[in-house]
Amino acid sequence: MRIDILGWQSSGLRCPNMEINLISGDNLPQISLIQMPNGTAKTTTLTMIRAAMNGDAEKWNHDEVMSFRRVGETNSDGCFILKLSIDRKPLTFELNFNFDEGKVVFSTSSQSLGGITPGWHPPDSLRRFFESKFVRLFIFDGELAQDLFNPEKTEASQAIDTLFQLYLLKEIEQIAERNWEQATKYQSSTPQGQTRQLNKIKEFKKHIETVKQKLESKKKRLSVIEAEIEKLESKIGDHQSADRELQEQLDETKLQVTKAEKEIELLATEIMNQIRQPQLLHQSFSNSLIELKSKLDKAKLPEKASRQFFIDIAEQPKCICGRDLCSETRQEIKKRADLYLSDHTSAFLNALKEDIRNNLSYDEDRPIYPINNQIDVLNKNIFEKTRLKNKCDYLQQKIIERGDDDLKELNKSLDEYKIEKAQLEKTIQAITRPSSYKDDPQMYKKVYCLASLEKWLQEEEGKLAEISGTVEKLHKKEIFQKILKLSLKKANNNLKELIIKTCNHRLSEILYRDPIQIDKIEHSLKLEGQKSGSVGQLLSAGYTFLTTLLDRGKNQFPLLVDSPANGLDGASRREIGKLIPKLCHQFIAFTISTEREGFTNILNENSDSTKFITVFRKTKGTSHLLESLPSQGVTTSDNCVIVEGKDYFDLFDIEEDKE
Amino acid sequence: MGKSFRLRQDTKDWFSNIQKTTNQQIKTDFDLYYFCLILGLATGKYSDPTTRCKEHRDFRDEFVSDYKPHQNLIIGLLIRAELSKFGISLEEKEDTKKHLIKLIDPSSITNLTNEGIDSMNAYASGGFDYLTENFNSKPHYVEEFLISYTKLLQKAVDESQLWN
Repeated sequence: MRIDILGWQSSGLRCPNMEINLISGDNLPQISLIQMPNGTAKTTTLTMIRAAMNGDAEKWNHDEVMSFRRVGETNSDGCFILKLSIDRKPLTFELNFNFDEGKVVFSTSSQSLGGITPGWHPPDSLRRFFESKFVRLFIFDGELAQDLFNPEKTEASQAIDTLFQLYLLKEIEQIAERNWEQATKYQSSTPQGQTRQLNKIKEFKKHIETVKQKLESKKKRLSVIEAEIEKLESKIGDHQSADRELQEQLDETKLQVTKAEKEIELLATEIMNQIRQPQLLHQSFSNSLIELKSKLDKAKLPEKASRQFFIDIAEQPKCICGRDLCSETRQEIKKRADLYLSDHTSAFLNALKEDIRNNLSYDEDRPIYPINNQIDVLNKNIFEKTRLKNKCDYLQQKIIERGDDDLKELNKSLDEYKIEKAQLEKTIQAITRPSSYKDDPQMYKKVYCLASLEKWLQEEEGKLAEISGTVEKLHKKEIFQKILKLSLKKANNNLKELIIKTCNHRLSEILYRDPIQIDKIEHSLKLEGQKSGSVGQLLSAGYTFLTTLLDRGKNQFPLLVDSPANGLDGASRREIGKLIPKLCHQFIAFTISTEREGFTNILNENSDSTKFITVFRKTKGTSHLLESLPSQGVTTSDNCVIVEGKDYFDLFDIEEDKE
Repeated sequence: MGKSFRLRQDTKDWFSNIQKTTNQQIKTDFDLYYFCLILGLATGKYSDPTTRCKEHRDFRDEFVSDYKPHQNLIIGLLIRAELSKFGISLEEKEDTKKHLIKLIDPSSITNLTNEGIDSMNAYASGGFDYLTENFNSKPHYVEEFLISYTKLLQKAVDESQLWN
């Protein structure tokens, strides 16, 4: 079976009123590149295509429906039509929006339905492909790459089951079961006993089915919990390492503060020592002291003769010149002696002059202000210390803001998940454990061990076979079912192994500089030796997985991607651009102008046929574009312009459509 | 008995934040006294400490060891300030000698007469008045005080006729 998207049409919705026709002449090109600047509602269009395919729009609530009406508009209705081709037969889904009531009503049109039928009615054979989680695999946005690694969002193993039609093996098993049930129902020798036994088996099967569903849901929950635990542990690790980093920065800055404080202390001590020397405080002090000495020298102070010399003379009978000293003369000498400095004062003045000579600079052209240089350095050091202290405060605040509360909360959640994980594992273990002699078939409803339950069911079916005379048939059915189960298991394992091998081979080529490898395919993809990768790595791995699946399965699906090259580096773009045309029968991409470089041209070069479409809104910002539209391939609506053609596509350079 | 260096209590209080620091740049009361004295000499401002502040204390009768090596130069600045105060030029030998005799007493441990000590205490008191007039608040950090003090002192000397 092959599904193609032929085009779509929208009116009265958030996306522009437009009709996109992917058919070129009579053919559907392998690659369709629709250039839509940001703001042209790529996401809305993608959501609409998905909603049309999976029928989810019927379940949308009032607010969800209203969110698709253009902001500021009051129109009562809107419409989105998706045109598909299933094995070259048309299938159309039409979503009619009633904004007055906040509802969406579907209608489906196909040959098998005999025309238009109200409601969402995909062909029964397609229902499994049109489930939400499956549609996400081939109609996807940039988030899917990461979602493929999230067990909550995707069903990677279910995708394999669906794409490779492994479900057929399960269906055959069910057919065998139903046939045997029919056989036992109508071949009764003792109808009463047989009915009782049939009912017993029915109850057994019902209970086993409940247990299996329980096992499935617990396994799924466990897978989610394990992913959550990984995420939380990673967050806690990041938190702790970020905290450690901050703490290290804080400790380092504190050390720098201490060092700066020490330097300031030493410098302040040095400055204080200089302040204690008055001659260093100002050149004028120094000059003034020098002048004092100079003037004292000039005035011959202290004099050579001291006061004591004259007092001593006055006390002698004769003067130093030999004359006799009378009392009057003696009195006068003593009186005039006061005009002379004492020996001690003279000694002080001499000491002062000595200090001035020894300590003061005589070079007037070289002012001495060593203290000022040190004051400048001190100022700078204080400024630096303040800066470092502010940094400390900032880091301290940041640590407080990050807070233990966050970490406690994360640890609390982790503990809760771990408890839940332990409970889930216990339940799964109880269901999957080997049978035990302690299990009582009389109390089978309280037993959850599948091995025991299936063994008892087999015994009960044996009894029924005996009652109904279908023992041989039962054995054949059992062998057949066993073969089917083993085939399914083997096919599943082989396919997964093959897909992983192919994916990893391609990944090693695409991401040759920074390779990642897929380890396991469970509900989600598991990477080898790492929990996650960069956006580019995950996107590359996602493409590789999906294209490998779509390439190998018997059913063929289109691949529609929003911004396919966003997040990929140049080399990965080129490799993916080469790979996609080899693996997809139809690839549709919503692109922006910056994705052209190294991607759209490579896609075009490697594809059988490529259709180039450019869509932009009619706004003030794009009014100038209306004047330079090509003469052919242009379709306009009341609010948008659609231009077909490579030349226009390559020259269009609006990245964002601003209104 | 010789007179002592005198410190006003308000001076002691004003410096209380930075004198208590463990850094020990300001080790003794003489440091506080010296800050004020130098500023008084720089500006030529003097006042009677006993009238400016009722609480005062004769805290020391000699130059402490940190200042011993510089005491002659400090006295030299006092001599210049005092001569200037009384309008005596150094060329006037006799008047200069008279003043030297009034200020200097080498038999005293400070090398100063009581009058010399009184003059110093007056300049220290006047210097403190000038300090508080030019600071918005008590100093809190010794290093910041040293920067502000040095700048204030140099500005005062630059603007003084006495020293220029």
